[in-house]
Amino acid sequence: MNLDRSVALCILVFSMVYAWLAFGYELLPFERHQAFKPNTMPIGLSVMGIVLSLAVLLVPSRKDSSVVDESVVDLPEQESANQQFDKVRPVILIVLMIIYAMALRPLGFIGSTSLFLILSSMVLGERKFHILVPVALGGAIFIWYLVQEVLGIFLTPWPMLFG
Amino acid sequence: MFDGLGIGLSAAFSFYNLLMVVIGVLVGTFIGMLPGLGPMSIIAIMIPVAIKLGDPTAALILLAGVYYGAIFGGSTSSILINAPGVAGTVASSFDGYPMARRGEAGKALTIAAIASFCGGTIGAILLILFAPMLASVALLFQSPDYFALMVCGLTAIAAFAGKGQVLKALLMTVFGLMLASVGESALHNAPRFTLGIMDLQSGFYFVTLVMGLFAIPEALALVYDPSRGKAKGGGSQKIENLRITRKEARQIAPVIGRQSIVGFLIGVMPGAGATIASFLGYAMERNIAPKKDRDEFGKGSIKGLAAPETANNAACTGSFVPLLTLGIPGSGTTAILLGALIALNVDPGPRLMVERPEVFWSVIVSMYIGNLVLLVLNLPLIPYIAKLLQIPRNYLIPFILFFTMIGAYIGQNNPTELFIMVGLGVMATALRFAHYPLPPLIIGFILGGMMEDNLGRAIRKANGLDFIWERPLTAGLLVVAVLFLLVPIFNDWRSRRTEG
Repeated sequence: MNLDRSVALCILVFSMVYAWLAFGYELLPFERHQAFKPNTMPIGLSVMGIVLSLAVLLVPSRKDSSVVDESVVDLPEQESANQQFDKVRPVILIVLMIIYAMALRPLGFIGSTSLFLILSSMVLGERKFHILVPVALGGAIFIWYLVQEVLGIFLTPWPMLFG
Repeated sequence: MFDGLGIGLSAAFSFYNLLMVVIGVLVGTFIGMLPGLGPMSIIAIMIPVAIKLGDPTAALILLAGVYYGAIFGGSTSSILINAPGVAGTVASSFDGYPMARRGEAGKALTIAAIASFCGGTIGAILLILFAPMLASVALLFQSPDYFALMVCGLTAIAAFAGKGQVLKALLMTVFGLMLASVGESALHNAPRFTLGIMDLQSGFYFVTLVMGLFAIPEALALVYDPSRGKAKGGGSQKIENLRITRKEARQIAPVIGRQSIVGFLIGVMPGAGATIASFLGYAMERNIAPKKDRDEFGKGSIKGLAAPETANNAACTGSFVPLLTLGIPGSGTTAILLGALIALNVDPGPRLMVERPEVFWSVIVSMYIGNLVLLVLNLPLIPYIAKLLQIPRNYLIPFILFFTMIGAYIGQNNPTELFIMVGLGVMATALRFAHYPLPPLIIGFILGGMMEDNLGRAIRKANGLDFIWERPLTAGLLVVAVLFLLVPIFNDWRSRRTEG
């Protein structure tokens, strides 16, 4: 099964779960007799989601389907002999982002941000630590200053154990 | 209209708002030059800053400036290194890059800047003329009509998604509407579909969604495909001589005039944004050019560069018409701007012109100022800003990821937003690989709450679905929505039969 059908299958499963939650939504006594209930639109959406995802699964896809996406040009469809795609580093970066989210409060903004920038750059192949560490630390401190002192948004700079 | 213009001029020319225009345009150009970040990602990154300003006028002026700056920045990398990171600037590389290769990078950038300025300025004038007319018509709208209009807008966006993409675009729209139903709605106070997670009580945070859907996949794409956004075929970044001759100015003047109007009209249509406008503009000028000029297209023709640059800027301005007058975003980028307006407690829609004229008119006037700043300030700074293209990716990508995360975090000051954003980023990356268009998802998410509110009011008032045929405007819009869907599906079916 190609990727777009796999995605449609996932959305079908999601729509079915959504439908189960929508149909099973517990209405309050006064809501039961209203013309428009809290689950009216969700029920409609779940049915549409199931129908559309089945349609994508069952209708044969075109080879030349073009995407007009206002964001950016498309991701490459498949590897060619001359092109090398890196599948490991994006996954490592995702893991680092999750660790950053977990470490943000325990380590504080400056510590966790500096670590994230240093480790991400290392994953991407940077080894000039005499440039990397000052850039990461300086960037973290600058952004903390900009956000907290200039924009007035509180960011815990130091680890939790410092209060 | 003249009273409104006066309000807009006095608001837009305040020192603070002028500063916002300059900052927005410079930041947009700065970041827009970086490969991999489109206008949607850039605006998404700037939204937390704009929201913290507190003033909706200043916020929208800043974000509109970022939008234009990003388009211009995208053109710059398109011309200099043949790496159009923004789909709306792909057509600019057809002739811009050959000009750069033969040592005319400065001239190409000047033509791009002048064409963008003229396209945006004429677009702003057309916006000033059309917007009040459209807003006065829109004041006739009631809840059923709003609902039908939103359905019409969503189906139009799906219909323009591209050949063979209508079903996927519709699916993404419905998926976005489902995501919008999480949390509390305006009509019903009890939370829905939160699965017991307290942080989802108010639903998904709009900035988290946008960052996760657009910024993260772009950054990861730069890692996945190391050749993405890099100079192809020996790009020239040397910029000298930013002048054009009078003869060249006379040659591009009619092109600019035509494409300003065509681009604006295309931009007004929901779903048809700068990308379609730039390609159509390029194709149109090539087809009507004399044979001698037509042969130059694709080899460094100044008309071939001026056409898409004018069209994409005019289309950007045109896309503000449905946003400012009807509260319906015509593109993914204006959908994000709509989300920012809602976050600033501004009620977008036909009453915006009446209730918040200072927001409405100052945004329109600032579009002209933004284009002027692009021309006067950016062009001389381009040789220095172009040095950004030399930042090593080992530093660039971690900072892009960091900015997206911090943008989502500072809005709610909650690490859960980061987990949600990363999850959405992984999902969006899979959707992009499978060629599912994402703008319908974000537009569905942003309009979902309003659609449900209007539908709920319409059903309660009519005590059923009778509102559909009781109001001719509602019925008419729903018929148009059905036609928007049926025409591309029918064309697709017919072409499959022909192929089969």
